[in-house]
Amino acid sequence: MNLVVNGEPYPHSGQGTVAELLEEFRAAPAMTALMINGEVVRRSHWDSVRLAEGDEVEMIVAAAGG
Amino acid sequence: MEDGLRLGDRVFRSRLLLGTGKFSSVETMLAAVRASGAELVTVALRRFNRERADDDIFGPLAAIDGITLMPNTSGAMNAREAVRAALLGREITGSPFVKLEIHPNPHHLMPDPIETYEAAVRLVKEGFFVLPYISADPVLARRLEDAGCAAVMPLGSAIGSGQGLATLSMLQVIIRDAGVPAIVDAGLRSPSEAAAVMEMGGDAVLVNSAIAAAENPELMAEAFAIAVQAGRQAHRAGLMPRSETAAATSPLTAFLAAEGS
Repeated sequence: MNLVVNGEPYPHSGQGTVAELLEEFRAAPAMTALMINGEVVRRSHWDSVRLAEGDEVEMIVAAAGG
Repeated sequence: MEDGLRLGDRVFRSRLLLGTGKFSSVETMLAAVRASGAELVTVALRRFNRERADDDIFGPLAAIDGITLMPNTSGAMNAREAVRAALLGREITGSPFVKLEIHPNPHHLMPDPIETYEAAVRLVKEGFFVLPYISADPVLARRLEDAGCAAVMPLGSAIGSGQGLATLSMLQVIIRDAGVPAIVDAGLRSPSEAAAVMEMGGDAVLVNSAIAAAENPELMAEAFAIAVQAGRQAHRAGLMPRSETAAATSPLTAFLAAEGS
């Protein structure tokens, strides 16, 4: 399915689980926060999420800042 | 804990809060964090980047003993975006603290008081300990305190400007009237300014650029730590009254002028 991840088109070949997507991006789940279609999805709800065609995903991590 | 800084349900020994931006390298930043003795350290958020997957600062910061991270909402243009950023920051760090900052104008980076207030109300309801970055406005400070913020963080001068305590007289009012900790955030350049804030009763300072942009950030971090401690101790000790006239500290005896034989 075609997703938009961090503003870029991304063809995802799996079942649309959060775990798959993070694995594809090699993003560490414990250090990543997720927003799907503008909504923050808490880690405790990741297992129940199924991404769908056209979903916009933001993968956010900590950065240096004051 | 004797003379601790109470924020939310936590008590901190250190009254120096540190920002992690603008350091020349992660190693330099980590050395400064250690040297500062700061227990509350801010981080920002960014999009995950596959090419920079190892460039994560959360791991190394979280590994330093005694540090609580405080994500900021930098980049948020309004209350809605700030709430979103706060929720994302909490997901990553697990920290209940948030530095609420909404400064839509990149030229002066002055905080938007209306959006900041609105976001503060919502974040308090979400269970955050909210530390809002604000102009040195005593009225807004009181409104945010009444809204349940854990502290107020008025600016000394524009972010990263190094113009010091340009807002001094209003800071004094906020410090005098605030019922929550008043933390001076932004604009400081030198440790003496941090000491001045603490001497006049400020509860803490948040410093980033003054340390990150110093020639030797690690040494400057330590200098700020000492200054904050000295200023705090001076405040607790109570400064002597000011006098318009001199008052001799040595006996003014007349014998030196005695006529010789």
